[in-house]
Amino acid sequence: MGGFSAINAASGWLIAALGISIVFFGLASLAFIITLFPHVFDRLNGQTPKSIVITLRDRFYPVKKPPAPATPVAEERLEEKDPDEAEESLRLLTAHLGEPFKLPRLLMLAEHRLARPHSTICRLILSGKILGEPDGLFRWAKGDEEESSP
Amino acid sequence: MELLANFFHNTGFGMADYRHLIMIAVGLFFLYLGIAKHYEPLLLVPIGFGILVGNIPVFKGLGLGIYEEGSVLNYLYFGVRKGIYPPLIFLGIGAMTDFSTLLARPRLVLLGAAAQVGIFATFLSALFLGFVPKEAASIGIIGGADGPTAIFLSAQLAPHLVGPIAIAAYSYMALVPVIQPPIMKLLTTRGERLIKMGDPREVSKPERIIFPILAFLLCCFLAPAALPLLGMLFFGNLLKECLVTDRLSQTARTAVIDTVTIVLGLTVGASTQADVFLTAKSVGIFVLGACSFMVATAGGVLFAKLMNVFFREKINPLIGAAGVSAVPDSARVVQMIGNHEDPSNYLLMHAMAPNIAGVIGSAIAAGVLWSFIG
Repeated sequence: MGGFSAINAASGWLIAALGISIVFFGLASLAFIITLFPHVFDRLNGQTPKSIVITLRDRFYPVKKPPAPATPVAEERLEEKDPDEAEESLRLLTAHLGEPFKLPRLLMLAEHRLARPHSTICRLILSGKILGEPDGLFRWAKGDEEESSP
Repeated sequence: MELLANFFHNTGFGMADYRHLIMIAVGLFFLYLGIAKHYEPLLLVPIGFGILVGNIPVFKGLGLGIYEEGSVLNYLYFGVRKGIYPPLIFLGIGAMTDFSTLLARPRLVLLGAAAQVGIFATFLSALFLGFVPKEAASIGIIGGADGPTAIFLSAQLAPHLVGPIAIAAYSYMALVPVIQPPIMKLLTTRGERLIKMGDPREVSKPERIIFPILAFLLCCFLAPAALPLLGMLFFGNLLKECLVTDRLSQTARTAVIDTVTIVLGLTVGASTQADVFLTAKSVGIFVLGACSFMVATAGGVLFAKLMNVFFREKINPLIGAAGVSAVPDSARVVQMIGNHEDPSNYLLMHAMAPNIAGVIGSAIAAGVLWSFIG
C-alpha cells in the first residue's frame, strides 16, 4: 500500500505534525531556559549556597514573626476619651522636644502614647492651640500654654 | 586439474558476481572520498573498508559473514543491532562539544528545530512510497544528518535496514560540502549572505556546568525514548565542563569514541553485503535520504529568514543550514560560503549553535518517532 491512503492509515499527518511540534517545543523551552541563565547567575553571583537557600525560603515561605510583646508604653496609649488629657500628653512631649518643634517628630513620639495622634494634633492646630511658623516649625499658642501649664 | 578447478570455485574469484563488484566499487569510492577528498575520513575510511570486508564472497556456514551467528563480525555487529554504539558515540561527542555558542545565542537553537522538518517530510514521503511506518520512520531520520541517531532508530524499528540507512546517512554527512551549498545559495540573496553577526556574549563556567543537567532533564522528560542518546550526550558534556573528571572526559573524547567509531564504521560497512544491500528498497532509501537532507537544509535556511522578519538583530540565514546535525561539517560549509562572499565574515562560531541544537533536535525527533511507532 502506498499513496495518501498509506499516510492516513499510519496516522502519518498527525505523527509528523506532533513530532515537529514536540521538537520545536523542546528546543524552544531549552532556548527560553538558556535566556534566563544570565539573570539567574547575576542574582546568585557571590552568594553561598546557604544564603541562597535562606533567600529562597524567605521569598516563598516567609517566617511569621511572633507578635511583639505588649510594651508598657503601648498599654499606656491613651484612648482619646478625654481631649484635655491627650493635649496634656502632647504638652509633656513638646516640653521634652523644646519649642518650636517639628511636627513629624512630635507625631512619631505621640504614636506611642496616643491612640489617634494625627487627629488629636489636627484638632489642636485647627483650634489654634498649636501654631505654625514661617520656617515650618510649630509651637503652642502663648495663652494656652500659660493657662494649662502647671 | 580438477583439484585446481575446485580450489578456484572456492575462492572469491570463483564465487563473485556483478553485485559484489558493484559493492566493492562503492567501497573503493568511499575510501577515495575519505582519503583523497578528506570528506569525513574518520567515518568513510572505516565504512569504505568495511564494505570491502563485507563483500568478499565467502561460503555460507563457515561462520565468516557478518550475518552468520557466531562469526567475529556478527559479534561486533551486535553493538549496531542492539543500538549500543550510537550512545557511546554520543558520549564522545558530548565530551568534545563546547555548548558556549549555543548558550550565548539561545535564539539560534530554533534553527536546529527547523531543520528537523526534513525528518518528518521524509517520513511522510516514505509512507507515500509504500514503506511500512517503522521503515518510514527509520528512513526519515536520515534527514537529521546524524549517523549514530539514524543507526540507533533503525536498529530499534527496522533492523533489516540498518545497513542501507547507515550508509545513506554517513554518505550524505560526508557529502555535506556538495549537497548544501547550492540549496543555501538558491534560497538566499547576496545581501543576506553578507549579513555580519555580532560577537556572542561571554558564557560563565557555572552556566556551562548547569546546562547539560538542565537540558538533559528537560529533553528526556519531553521525549524519554531519546534517553540513551541525550543521556550520554549531556553526560559526556558534563564530564568535560565540570573540570573534576578530566580523565573520564579525556577517555570519552579519545579512546571511547575512536574505538567505537572504528568498530561501528567497519561493521556497518560490512553489513552491506551485496545480496542484502543491492535491492530496490536500498535505492529508495538513498533517494529519500538525499531529499530528506535537502529539505532539512532548506528548512533551516528558510526559518532563519523568517526569524529575520520578527527580530531586530538580523542573523545570517546561511547559518540555518547548520541546523542539520552533521557536526561540524555543516557549520564549516556555512563558514565557507559566508567567507566566499565576504572574506572578513566569520560565521563558524555562530553556525555551531544551530549545529549542536540540531544534534539535540534529531535525537528528540528519533525519540518521538520511536515513541509513536515503536
